[in-house]
Amino acid sequence: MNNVYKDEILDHYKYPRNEGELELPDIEVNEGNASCGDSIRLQLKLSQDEKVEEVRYLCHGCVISKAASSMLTEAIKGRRIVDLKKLSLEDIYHLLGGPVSMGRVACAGLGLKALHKAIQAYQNTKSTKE
Amino acid sequence: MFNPSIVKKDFPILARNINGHPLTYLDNSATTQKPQVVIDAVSNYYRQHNANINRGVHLLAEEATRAYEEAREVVADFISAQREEVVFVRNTTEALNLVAYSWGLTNIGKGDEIILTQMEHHSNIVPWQLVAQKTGATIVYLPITTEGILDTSKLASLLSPKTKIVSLTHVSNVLGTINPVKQICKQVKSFNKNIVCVVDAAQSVPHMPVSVKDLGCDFLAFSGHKLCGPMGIGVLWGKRNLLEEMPPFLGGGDMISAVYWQKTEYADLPQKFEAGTPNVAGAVGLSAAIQYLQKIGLEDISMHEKELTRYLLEKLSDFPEVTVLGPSSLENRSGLVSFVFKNVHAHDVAQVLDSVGVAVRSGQHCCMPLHTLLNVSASTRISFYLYNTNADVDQVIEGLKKVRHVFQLKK
Repeated sequence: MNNVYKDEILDHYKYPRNEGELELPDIEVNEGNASCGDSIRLQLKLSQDEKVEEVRYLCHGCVISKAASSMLTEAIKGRRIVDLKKLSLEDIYHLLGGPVSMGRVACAGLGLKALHKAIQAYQNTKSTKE
Repeated sequence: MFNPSIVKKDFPILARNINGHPLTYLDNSATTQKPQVVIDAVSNYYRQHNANINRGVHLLAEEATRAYEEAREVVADFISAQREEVVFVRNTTEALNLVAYSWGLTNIGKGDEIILTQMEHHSNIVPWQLVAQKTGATIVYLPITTEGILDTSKLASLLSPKTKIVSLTHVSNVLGTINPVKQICKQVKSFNKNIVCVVDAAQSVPHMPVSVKDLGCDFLAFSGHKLCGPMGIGVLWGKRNLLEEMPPFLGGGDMISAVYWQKTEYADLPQKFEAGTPNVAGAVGLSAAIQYLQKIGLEDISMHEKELTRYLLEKLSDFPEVTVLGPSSLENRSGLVSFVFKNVHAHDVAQVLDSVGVAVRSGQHCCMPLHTLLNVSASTRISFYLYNTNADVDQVIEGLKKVRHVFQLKK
């Protein structure tokens, strides 16, 4: 993985999309990778029909985790929560333009892990309300 | 003094090319490479002598048993111990767990205190947390200074009638600090001779002469793979009287003298703590590794690593974006250097270094609480061994220049 630092990845790292915080998020989760010390806060705001209306994140981490999270937030905007459940690491690799080495899988998957946690949290609260 | 460039030729793996560059292996605190003599010893054991040990009557069983016990003698001699006090385990982690479960759960009770330090590896924190949870004991931590040195002036205030055990690392795997273990053991023992002192020597035994007699501790743990030996073999040394009083850690074959339907009489030391078929080939390989290191000389290895550290720190001072963790003085520093590259995550530093053939570690190095304390999310660690040269340091520096170049886009 010597070409991991492609311009597009570095661009997302340098100019992260959707970085920041929402004032009134519908869902907020924190996720981390213990082995590397990376962490992310992901916030979502949903529309009536359960689509991602707004998304913000704050990520402390490496180029891969930050760029993958940035790309992921772009990719999920406007999409339905139920569809996002199906997102996998393969989709992240697709966004990154290729797979990462074994040691960086957790980095690439950090944002995705947070997203899955967020969806789970949303569905849990929904089922409690119902 | 040995010539590291010649020593390098003893290690077949160091002839490899990585990403178009000769391998520069600087991840020795994680594990070390193996010289041909160790590879041969393990291979020869399996080609010529392999059998299960102890009870066999046939010749191979006898040879395997002898090889295993001779390895124990070599280890005992290496750390100035008695052979009965040398217990073979898988690694340092298992050795520390053995002490925690066997000695800890028997002797530590509600309200008792366990003293650790703020620079411990997870393997010297988690087992004690498990003991504390089971017994109701409390863990207290000896703090470090901003330089990453143990604040031994605080030890007196931590010691109390509740203190049952003091467990600490000899050399920090993140900061490189060499701790004054002998002085600490002395202070602890003069406060109360019944307090047990445990030393995690994973990062010291491979790199400097270590004598358990001299340190004055009760238990000492290290791994074979960090000193040119195979993975899966490690050592727990313990004082005979303590080991004799302790219940077994694991039960099964080889650790018994007689078994009845309802009770068991245990074998003598050290077999009492070696249930099941052991890693005989591992012990044989460890023995070959120790003899190899002894021939070169632990004192010289230590001096060589110090010189490399001096050279590296000097070169790193040209990088204003690099912050080195740990002591600034070389005096109490081992041959490892962890650092933070400003605005570049440790994984990214390590990945760029890999692209020029340099193998280093990045992350928290199994020291999450320490990294939190240092307010650093992750660090990059360069760690030396006998086969490293100044040219390896130069290659790291080339790699760090590349890091600068790749990430210059950064805001």
